[in-house]
Formats: sequence, C-alpha cells, structure tokens
Amino acid sequence: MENSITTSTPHVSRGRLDEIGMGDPVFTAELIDIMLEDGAMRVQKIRAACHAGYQEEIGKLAHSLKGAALNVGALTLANLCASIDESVRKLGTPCSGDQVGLLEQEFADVAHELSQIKSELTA
Amino acid sequence: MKVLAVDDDRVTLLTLRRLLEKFGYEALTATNGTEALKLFLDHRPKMLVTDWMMPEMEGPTVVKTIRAFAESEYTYIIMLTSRQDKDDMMAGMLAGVDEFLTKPIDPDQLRARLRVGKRIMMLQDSLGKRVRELEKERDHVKMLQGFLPICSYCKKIRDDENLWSQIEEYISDHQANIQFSHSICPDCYESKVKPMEEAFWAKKKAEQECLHDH
Repeated sequence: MENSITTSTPHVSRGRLDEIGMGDPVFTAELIDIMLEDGAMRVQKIRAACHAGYQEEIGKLAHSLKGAALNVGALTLANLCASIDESVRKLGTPCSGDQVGLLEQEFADVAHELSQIKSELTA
Repeated sequence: MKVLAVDDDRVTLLTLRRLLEKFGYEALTATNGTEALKLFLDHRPKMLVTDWMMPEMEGPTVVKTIRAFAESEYTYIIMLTSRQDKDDMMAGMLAGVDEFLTKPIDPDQLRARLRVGKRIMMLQDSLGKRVRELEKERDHVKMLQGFLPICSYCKKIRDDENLWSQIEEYISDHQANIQFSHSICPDCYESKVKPMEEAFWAKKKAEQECLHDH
C-alpha cells in the first residue's frame, strides 16, 4: 500500500515542466540534464557542508537548489530546500543529517522521474 | 534589444535565455555578479534580469554598481526573487531595482515585465534623442548669437529685434555688469581733438591780437 502511494505521487509537476520547456522536447531534455547534474552536485555539497557544520553554506546551496527545483516543477524538493534554508539562516537551527537524508531521497525520486520524462521526450 | 540575465542556477539561467530569445530579445547570460558587471560594461544591455541571492556578489550589489557606473544611460532592472517581505522589496528598490518577479519564472509575467521595460527604455531613448537635438539647437542659437551685425560706418549694432543702436547702448542692455565711462583714445586725440584744440587756440590768439590792434 505504502509503495503504491509513493509510486503514484509525482515528484515533478509535468505541467510546469511542459510550460517552461515551451513545447520543445530538446530544450526540455537539456533542462533536465542540467537539473540532474547540478542538483546532484548541490545535494552532495549540502551533505558535505552538513558534516563540516558550515551552516551558511548549507543555506546558500539549499536556496539555489530550491530555485532550480521550482523551475522544473519539483515542488516537494523545493519545499525541503526552503525548510533547510529557513531553519539554518533565519532561525539559526543547525541542519540535521535527517533533513539532508530526506533531501537526498527526494532528489533521487525527482531524478528518477525526470530521467523517465527525458526518455519519453527523446524516444 | 539586449537583455542581460544573471543567475547562479544554470537551470534558471538556461530557462531565462530561452525565454528571452523566444520573446525576441538578444540574451546575454552570466552566472555571477562579477561576470555580469563585465558583460554589462562590454555590451551595455538595455535591460537586466538578475537573481537576488548569488555567491560572490548579491543581486542588490550588482544593481547598485550598475546604477553607479551608468548614471547617464538608464538600464531597466528586474529582480528575480523568492523574497516577498516588505523590507526586502524596499532594500531592492533602494538599490535601484525597477521591478520584481518571483520565482519560479512565469513566462507570461516575464514577458509582460519585459514589455514594460522595453516601453520605458524606448521612451528613455526618445527623450535622450530629443535632449541631444535640443542641445544641438541651443548650440546653434548660441553660435548665431555670436554673430553681431555692426554698421561699417557708424558702428551701430543691430539687436535681436532688428533695431540699430549705439554699441555702448547695446552692450549695456546685454551685459548688465558693464557701464561705460567715456574717454578719448590717443589716436583719436591726435586726429580729432588736437586739431580742434589748435584751431580753438589759434582763433583765440587772433581775437586777442585784433583787440590789441584796436
């Protein structure tokens, strides 16, 4: 039951992706590639900054990832980023490993979905 | 029309580039403030779309620097932000931002704001052109005023109302600080006054001699 909910809940808003892709599959695929590449790098950097305790850096990275996530319609990922950004920079609460774990999991789901969409577009 | 887009997030930047091109603008892109300032100075774009939060140099600093660089040439600046509170908006406006656009980018809103910017920049260009024309005309008028018609014989001057007046009268009317004190130059003394004096004394002498004879 839990699995079926997880698989049926989209991590990426296809409507948003189509809007920003402007009906151009090549451009949409290019956006997806950059999101996958830059997103993975930022998530890794957030994990590293969390280990090192660089809270300001975590906030900046999360803020930047939030912008990219919103742009491609990954709303849950964007909300997680916003929550990390707000807690470390506005509330001064150190980012926890659990928060980063949730972020990593959500990014993995987003990446999986984006890859599937890209396969459809380029098929 | 050139538009410079600045964002450290490549996804947003690529989206911006594509949208700008689709809307018919010439897109320039930079991933940080330093690169943006260099592109700005090299290309002088009419409009700027910049993110607020960026590494190295934040959006408001980029805006302030551009405003300081280019006082005479206006640049229409749109700031992309997820910040919506009053203090942030005020800080952005004080830095010189003309318009805000919240993330994620809405293509229709971006297009509408760019149209506003384009209208303002075209108006700005047309005003600038008119000012340059007026300055040119003013210089021409000044140059014409520099030509002063003077009678070759009596040395009267023709004024703005086509009336002829004595040179001292003309200058007194046009230069409030100048007053004339009449005198005689050495040349005129020799050629005009001295012969009159000599004639006067000769006549006087003749009259005295005549009286003496009687």
